[in-house]
Amino acid sequence: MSAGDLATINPQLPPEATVTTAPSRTWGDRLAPFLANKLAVIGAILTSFFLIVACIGAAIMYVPGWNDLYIDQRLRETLLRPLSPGFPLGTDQFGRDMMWRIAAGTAVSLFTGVAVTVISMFFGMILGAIAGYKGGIIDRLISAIIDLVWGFPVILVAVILVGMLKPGLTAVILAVSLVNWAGFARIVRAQVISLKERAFVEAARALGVPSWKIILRHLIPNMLGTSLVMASYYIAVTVIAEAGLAFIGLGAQPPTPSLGQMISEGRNFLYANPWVAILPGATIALIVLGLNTLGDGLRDIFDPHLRRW
Amino acid sequence: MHCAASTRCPMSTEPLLTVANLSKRFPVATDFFGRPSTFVSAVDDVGLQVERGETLALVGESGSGKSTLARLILRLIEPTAGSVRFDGLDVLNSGKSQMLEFRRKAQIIFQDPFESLDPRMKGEVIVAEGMSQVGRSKAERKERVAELLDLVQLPADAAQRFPHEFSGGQRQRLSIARALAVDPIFVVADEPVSALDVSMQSQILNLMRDLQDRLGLTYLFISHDMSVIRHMADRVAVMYLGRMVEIGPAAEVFSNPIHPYTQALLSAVPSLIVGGEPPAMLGYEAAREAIGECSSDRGLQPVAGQPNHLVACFGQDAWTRHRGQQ
Repeated sequence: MSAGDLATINPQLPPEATVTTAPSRTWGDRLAPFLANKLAVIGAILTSFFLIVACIGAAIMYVPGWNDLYIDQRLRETLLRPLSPGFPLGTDQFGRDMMWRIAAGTAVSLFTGVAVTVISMFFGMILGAIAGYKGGIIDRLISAIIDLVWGFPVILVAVILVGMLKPGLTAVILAVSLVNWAGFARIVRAQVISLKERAFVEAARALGVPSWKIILRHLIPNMLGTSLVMASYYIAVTVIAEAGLAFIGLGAQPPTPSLGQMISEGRNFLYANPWVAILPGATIALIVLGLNTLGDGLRDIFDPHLRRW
Repeated sequence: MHCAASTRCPMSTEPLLTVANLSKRFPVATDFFGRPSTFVSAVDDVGLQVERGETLALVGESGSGKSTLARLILRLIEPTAGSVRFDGLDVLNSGKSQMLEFRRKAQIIFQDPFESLDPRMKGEVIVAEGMSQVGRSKAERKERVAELLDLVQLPADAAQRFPHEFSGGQRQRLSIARALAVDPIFVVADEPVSALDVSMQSQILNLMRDLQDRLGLTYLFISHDMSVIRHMADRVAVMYLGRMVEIGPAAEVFSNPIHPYTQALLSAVPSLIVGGEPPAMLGYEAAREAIGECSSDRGLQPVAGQPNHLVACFGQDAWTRHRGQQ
């Protein structure tokens, strides 16, 4: 190829092919890749179902007069099997209605999961973004703290905090947040480091766009997908952690119902009525399954390379 | 050169851009305490001038410091030493408002059009990004975006599309429109066509020349492709291992290359003579010795009979040894 070629071949060239798709995108179009992912749809349905259950559970716990639904003890009708008349999911060892207790327990689990994730996401994103964007000594300091925190098992931190505070949801939320923020910070830091080297960020700098605007317009929107996916996984992880802590008696204290605590109590009646332990266990499993598959679907919908419209 | 046709070009004899003794060292290793101990000189004591309206092509293989030099000139990275004077402004010692003015006048087009556009932004947002700094109204911006899309020969509906819906050539047109949105007088084009196929290359290059004529632009055009350089350049500057080894009018450099590296670049099979990964390669010191420390004066000297054609001093023996090592 020589200069002459370059100059002469141009006029004969056909115009570049242009994509002529309709520019307006409806919500149906936006949701198309999500709906195509069957697992993600199942995840979304499961998660919405448990969100509704959690709302009902919260109502039972906080609307005056309704809480006898799960606290009321019908001592004659203990350990009823599921599908008993009047008790669709049976009763526990005190004769409490399992259905309402599981609803209330779901509310407690999801509330803990969301609260922990909001707290750890807030601190994790801020500290991770600062570390990634500033670099240098600030980065090293924050990274050292992240590594230190990430090395502690949640159970250990929870035991220490429960020793300092009193056992209950507050201690659980604090303990899990204290560890989980480091998970967010690591990912956000790595993302900011890779994003700030991208040519479109450099182009924005060359255009004189100030740093805060670059963070708002380029970095955060490009991290939003990852953060939401991470959030859904972390809610699931927290639900499991809360159940584990409740199982060993460090979580929500009776009479506040908690799925982990219900499994722990049901353990003693496995021969009489295994459903008292199985039902809350299955609830946890389904909540986590729903959140994880939803996370996968969200990842697809936020990945621009998978957009087909 | 194109000043006569343009009103934005003041009558001035001072070159638009004067770069002097510009150097950048990157740390490549740190000692026990985390302090940098070993450096690589990406750009070493480079000086050049760019006249208003001309195209200066920066040539050299990958790793020769071309892109680093471009980013230093635009102050996207801070140099270790040296000075940059642009349109009467001391760029490296400018405050915030002066920098903003500089950012409007000097723009850049990147090599990879798949990397240089934010995948989440529509065409109109991308093109208008620089305008938000100028403070135009929404309607004005929209109008200006349409004008710019037309200028770079993109269809009007490009405003509503996302980067992944464009071809490589269209993306590069979009990044040209983004750079032109702030009415620059100087544009650095960092390998603007090397990611495109050949037919697209000629379209983009012709568009760039056309824009230069219409808008009176000055280009610093970076490339490693000699046929592209021949098509675009008024003057050529050759870089090797972070140093300027030869600079002169395109015709003179092409017809009468003096430095052995320039000769190697212009030969039919350059990769047989110069290859490898320059900054990290073995025999780096030998190469540095070969390209310009044969006398006490490290500056570029004019070629006999061609006052605008400068070449770095080089040791023929050392150069032959350097070639032998590769």
